[in-house]
Amino acid sequence: MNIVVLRRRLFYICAMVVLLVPLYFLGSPSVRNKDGSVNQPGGTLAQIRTAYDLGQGDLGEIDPASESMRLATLGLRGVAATILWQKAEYYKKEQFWDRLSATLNQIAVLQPHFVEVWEFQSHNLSYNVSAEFDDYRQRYQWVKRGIDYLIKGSKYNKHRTEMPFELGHFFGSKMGVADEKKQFRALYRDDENFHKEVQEKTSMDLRQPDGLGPDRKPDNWLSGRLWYLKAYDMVDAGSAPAKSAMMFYLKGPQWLMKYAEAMQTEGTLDEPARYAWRTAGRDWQKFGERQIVTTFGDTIYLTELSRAQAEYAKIKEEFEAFCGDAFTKLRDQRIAQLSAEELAAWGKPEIERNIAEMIMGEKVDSYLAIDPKDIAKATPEDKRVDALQIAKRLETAQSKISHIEIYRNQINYAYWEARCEAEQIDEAILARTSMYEANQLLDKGELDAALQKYEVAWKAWSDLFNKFPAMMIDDSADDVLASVDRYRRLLDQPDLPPDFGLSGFLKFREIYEGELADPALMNVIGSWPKVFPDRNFLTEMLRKSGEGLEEMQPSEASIPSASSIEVSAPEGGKAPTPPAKDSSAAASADPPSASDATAAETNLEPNRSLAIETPADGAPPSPKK
Amino acid sequence: MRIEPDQMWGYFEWLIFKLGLVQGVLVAVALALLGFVVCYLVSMARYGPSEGFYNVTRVIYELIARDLPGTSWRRIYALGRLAFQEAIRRRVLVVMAVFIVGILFAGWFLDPSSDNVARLYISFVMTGTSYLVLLLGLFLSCFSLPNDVKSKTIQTITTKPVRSTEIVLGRILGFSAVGTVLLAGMGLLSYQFVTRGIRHQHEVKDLADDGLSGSTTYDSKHQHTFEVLQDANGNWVGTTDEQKGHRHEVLVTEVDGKKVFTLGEPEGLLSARIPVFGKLQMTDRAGNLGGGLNVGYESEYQKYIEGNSLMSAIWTFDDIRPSRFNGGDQLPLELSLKAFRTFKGDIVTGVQGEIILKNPNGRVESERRGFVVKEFAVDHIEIPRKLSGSRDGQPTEVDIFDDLVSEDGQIQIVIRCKDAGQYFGMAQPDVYLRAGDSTFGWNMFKGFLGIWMQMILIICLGVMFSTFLSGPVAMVATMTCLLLGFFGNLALDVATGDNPGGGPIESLIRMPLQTGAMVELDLGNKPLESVIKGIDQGIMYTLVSVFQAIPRFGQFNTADFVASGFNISGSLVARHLTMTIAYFVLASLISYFFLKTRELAAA
Amino acid sequence: MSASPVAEAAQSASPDTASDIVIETRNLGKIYRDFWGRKKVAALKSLDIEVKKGEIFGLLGPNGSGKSTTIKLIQGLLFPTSGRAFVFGKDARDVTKNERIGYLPEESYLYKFLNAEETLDFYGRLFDMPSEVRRERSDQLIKMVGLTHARRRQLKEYSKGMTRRIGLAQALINEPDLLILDEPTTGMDPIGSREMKDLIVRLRDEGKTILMCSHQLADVQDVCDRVAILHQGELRELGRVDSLLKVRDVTEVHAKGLSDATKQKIADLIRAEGGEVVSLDNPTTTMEELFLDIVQDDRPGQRPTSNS
Repeated sequence: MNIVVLRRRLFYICAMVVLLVPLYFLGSPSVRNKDGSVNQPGGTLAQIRTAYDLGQGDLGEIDPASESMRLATLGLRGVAATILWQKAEYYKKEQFWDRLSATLNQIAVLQPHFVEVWEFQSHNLSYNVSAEFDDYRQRYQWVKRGIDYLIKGSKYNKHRTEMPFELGHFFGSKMGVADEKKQFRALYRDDENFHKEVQEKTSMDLRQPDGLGPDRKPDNWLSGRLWYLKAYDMVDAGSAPAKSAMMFYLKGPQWLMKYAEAMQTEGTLDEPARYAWRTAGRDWQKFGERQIVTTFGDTIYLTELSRAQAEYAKIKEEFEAFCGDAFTKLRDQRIAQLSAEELAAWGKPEIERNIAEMIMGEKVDSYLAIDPKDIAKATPEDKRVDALQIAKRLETAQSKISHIEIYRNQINYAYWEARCEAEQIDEAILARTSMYEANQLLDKGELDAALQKYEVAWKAWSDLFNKFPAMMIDDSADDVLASVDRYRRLLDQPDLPPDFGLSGFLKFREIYEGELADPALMNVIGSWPKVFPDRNFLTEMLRKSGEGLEEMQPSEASIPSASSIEVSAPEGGKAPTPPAKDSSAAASADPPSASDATAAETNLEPNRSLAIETPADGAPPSPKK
Repeated sequence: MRIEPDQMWGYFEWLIFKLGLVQGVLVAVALALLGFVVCYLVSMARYGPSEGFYNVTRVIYELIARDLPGTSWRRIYALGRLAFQEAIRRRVLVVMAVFIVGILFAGWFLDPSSDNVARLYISFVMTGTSYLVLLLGLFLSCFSLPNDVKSKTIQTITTKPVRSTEIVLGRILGFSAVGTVLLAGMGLLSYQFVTRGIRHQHEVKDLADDGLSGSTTYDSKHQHTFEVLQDANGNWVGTTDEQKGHRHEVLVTEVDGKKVFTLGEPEGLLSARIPVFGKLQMTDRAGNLGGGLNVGYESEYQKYIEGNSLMSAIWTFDDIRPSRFNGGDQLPLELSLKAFRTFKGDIVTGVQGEIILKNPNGRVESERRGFVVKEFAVDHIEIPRKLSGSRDGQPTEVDIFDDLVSEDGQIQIVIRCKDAGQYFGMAQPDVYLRAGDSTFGWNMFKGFLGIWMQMILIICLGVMFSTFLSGPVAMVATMTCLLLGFFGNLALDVATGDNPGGGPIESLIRMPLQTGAMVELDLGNKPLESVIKGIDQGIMYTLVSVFQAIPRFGQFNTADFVASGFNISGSLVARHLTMTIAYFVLASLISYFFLKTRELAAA
Repeated sequence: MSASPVAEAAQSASPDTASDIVIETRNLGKIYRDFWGRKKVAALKSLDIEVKKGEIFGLLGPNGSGKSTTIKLIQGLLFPTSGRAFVFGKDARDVTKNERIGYLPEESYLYKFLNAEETLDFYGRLFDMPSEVRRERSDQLIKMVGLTHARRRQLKEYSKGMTRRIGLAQALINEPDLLILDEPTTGMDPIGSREMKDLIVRLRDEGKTILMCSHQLADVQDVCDRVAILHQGELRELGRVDSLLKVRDVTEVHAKGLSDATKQKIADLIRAEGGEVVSLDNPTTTMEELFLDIVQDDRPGQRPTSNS
């Protein structure tokens, strides 16, 4: 053999050996114990694979069909999947649904660990394709197709919470919210084969007691909740949650409430409903006690609002006491700069102010809201370092409150908390049942009996609204309005009797029609009984609204303009001022103290805000000391 | 499935009126002229003008005067048999094994819960078969001749009195025979696979009404309900309701005075409906012809008519005779309409419509027959021969064939939507009269015949290219033809400019400039632009003519008919056969010329 | 498209149809070109030979001398760049001439997956022979080439020598009048080679014309009536083997049992007679000598350069 060739070959062999050595160490597989725990971590590649759950065995099922498809594409499965995806889009465009669904299966089999594909295409099937059918039974079948698709995906991705999470959503929301929810829910309840199939495929028992509705059949909302619970269990076992902690854990209790609501809508009003609300309330409470890491970086609990407020008050007191002179001096300086007019306006109790005075008063308030840091800087030098420290603590406490509030507002925590509680009391049950019965009687033509029942119902509703004003803004309140309408027609009078128990409620609904779904309003109403146990919401609200209405807005067109209501919590425990009704009047929050500057920041639409200040007994908001 | 208008043509309609023959002849003449000119140019370059001309004409002369008359079937048979043996030796039976394995594991990929299981199964086997067989044809035909040249075995052949025609025909026929054998095997297996795959059984689960009705067990993702009745002879008869496109017969036997129920095989899944298509016209809101709306879908296949308005869809059917419809006691009508709701309305009830039968003379019409739309399924309606209607506005009983069919055999079927604010969507093939059924097996055979013809075309092309190209290159060339044949429409769209963005050069310029396809090309230089567009035009017309000559493989694919349960009409098969033969002759001729003028012993 | 350049040939009846000339080449030349049509190599330069009926004609030459090209041109497997070739008076590109030709290629290019019977049957079909005739002929031929024991074995299992035999049988299937043999004895053992040569002679005696090419000089010398020696595409020698090998001014004496002294005496005698002792040795293979003589230099030989 030619010596040059020989030398070259030897060189290649050496190079291969040299290159193989690091590969050997990088790639050596991990050794596992019988229970699956890692005995020896193996090379870097194996470690990375473990860290990212990339091993087939780790990801879920190893499916021969999928593996053979992937082999058949010679490693070009990405390309193949893309082509199939385009094909699927074409089939969807041309409405070849069978082929669409077959193609989707192929795509998923090609890249079974691409979670977004499962999510996206199952939604496609359950929501988009199903809607193309005219017959709701066919639509239901396609909803199930999407669910089946997700179930298949969950088998390939055993550690991904997205799958059960989406399933929870599909079972609950798709079947329970759609226009044909009544039909869907009924079909689902009786779809024994489907329940069985799901259990066969996933071992998820939809027929367990926690999943059964009042008729001892699986309820879609409860089934959805079971999926969420499964997702929660997976997180406990080490998987990452599919959504942010709050949105992730919100769903379980929320679905319980939806279940309760659905049950009431369908006419089950007494004990089962009460039980459902009780369970929901318990879950809601538990959810509130769950630790949430906010996007601001701190950790909060939704239920610790009052604790945080107390903490703030304590620090504030400490701070003001510590700064003493510096604080009063600064404040007096600023007061001295005010005009007499402004002072006069500011001095008036809020309820007595006219609009101009209100604006002025607010300006004064914000002017007098002095940044704690400024106060600290104004302290004598020997105290300054400590003062700054306390100021910082004060700011932290304040931001914690605002974070809790932001998070609570996002999901109307207070409202739902109140709702759960309200639905359990006897007044609620009585109100609902008697109204229901009255309607039934009226349908039957038994007018007198109906009239009597209505009277009972109005009384009960009125009591309920007083105890839980939050009830005035939910769907059942809409039913009340509808029933009141029937009642009015029954009476055959243009106006309701002057002593009609629900006139306050009617007035309220009339004014706030546009803001009922506003989180801020829901929050205020929801937390009202807790924050102001001795004040009647309706009275306060209507008093303020009425005044604002008459003074500012003779035309009714623009009445409902407030879109966010704020409880100035730092001064918690003080009596409320009924909210300003008018937009300009409420142009900004009325911060009674420096602390509210931050609170105001959370007010996303200050021009449309409706503020409930909490100065003591209607006195002008004045910083203490 | 979508039946294209051209698929409804009769054979002679296509051949003569739709210019099928003319097109074929044009392609042949164009190719012949082109071939002659190119060959002459090449020959001239090598031997000079007169010599070149002589050479070209001599080859043509030899074909006609010597080689065609001298062609012997025995030699063709010998060569074909050799090709067959060679193919077998090259382990083509592996393809069969692949097919069998594929079918065995097909269950993994096929979703038995599909609404139309039969369609899924049939599409699967037929697509699988055609891919396999086409690939097989490709490999067989492209490598054989080049291999023979390479291994010089061709020299022992051509030193015998073998004509080039015989070599070409031998190959084509031999490989076709291999393919046919394999395809036949696959066809039989497919038939078995489909008929077995869709077969399922139910048991009776619940009985009600003293055993007069009941429901079945839940199998293959569905369950049926059924009713039984006692017929005139006192026998109990019944069928289940239709689920996923099929019913089961309910057999009732009495044992010890007790009724015992058994359920038969699924019926109606494997059908071969013979449709009689009509011509569709739509009226607008004013009742004038030319209506039809787009309700916002991207696909414009279906046009929509509005409910409770003067809009209607009118189908006119030709040649309506009782003998076409099984004696004509009923007129079987099948619809697959789409409903589109602008508001939810009554969720429980479907959108409603009505059918009116009209004599095209406008004097006689039937009563309005209501129906509820069934989407993405075929709604079968049997209209009895005698029904109430009106003549010149006077209510009377009318007879479909006597009164409603005009003298020249036409009838009109009018469809309207009844619900205000809701719409019906439809295309021409969505409503048809069902003139009986063909058998499924026969229809499947015709479907496989389509695959067979595609295979023959591939083999012809492959052999043709392999007469002057090396094996791999011939395969690439054939593949290209195959792809262009399958995606020819796209290519045609580009070539005819239906696809916006201009021709190749224009697109090439647009890309770096990042101009959108819908914007006019603007280079700020008019003459340059027109030059570019001119050249593009030239390229595109060349492309169009090239594409015209390439067989449209997709066109031969009639698997959809089988899968959707439509009979493949004889004229369609005849048309495809005609085209196959034409391409066979063409490819053989081209092959002959190449082989004849090639030095087979050249290194 | 490459074709014969002689335009009038098709219509003109080929010369000497009636005569006993079987193969005739006129000014036959072949230039191989590359893909772009550029001239690569001139494989054959204006060859003029005639092969008469009933003779064994040998083409002799080293590798690349143009033997195979000539044979392929004669059979129409290649198209000449200049001149023409006629077989039985027909143009070489006319396939009908093949009816009367049997061809044994250089290495039997047969289908390896067929067995002996199938091979012969296949080629028989190519001659459009009816099945009884085919069967009869193939039995006969298999027996003749001595493959009876292996008639049902696939050719891929055959040894080189067996392959040559079946190749020969295939060439004889149509009882050809002209047999073209390309290196007929390569790969055969001495006995097989002998048999082959005997067979060739026997076929000639049966009246067949045989054109063979070889670089086995002994073969050519043994069996050929006439040879043409080609070198670098040119014809160098052509003539009857015996006359070619006859060197006119050299006398060859064969004697046995001479002592060295006697040899010396003879040498002296020759010298005395005015002759020149070229060599006084055991005889060499003269064909090889001749061949090497031609091939190793371009010195023109003193032998007659045309057929007598």
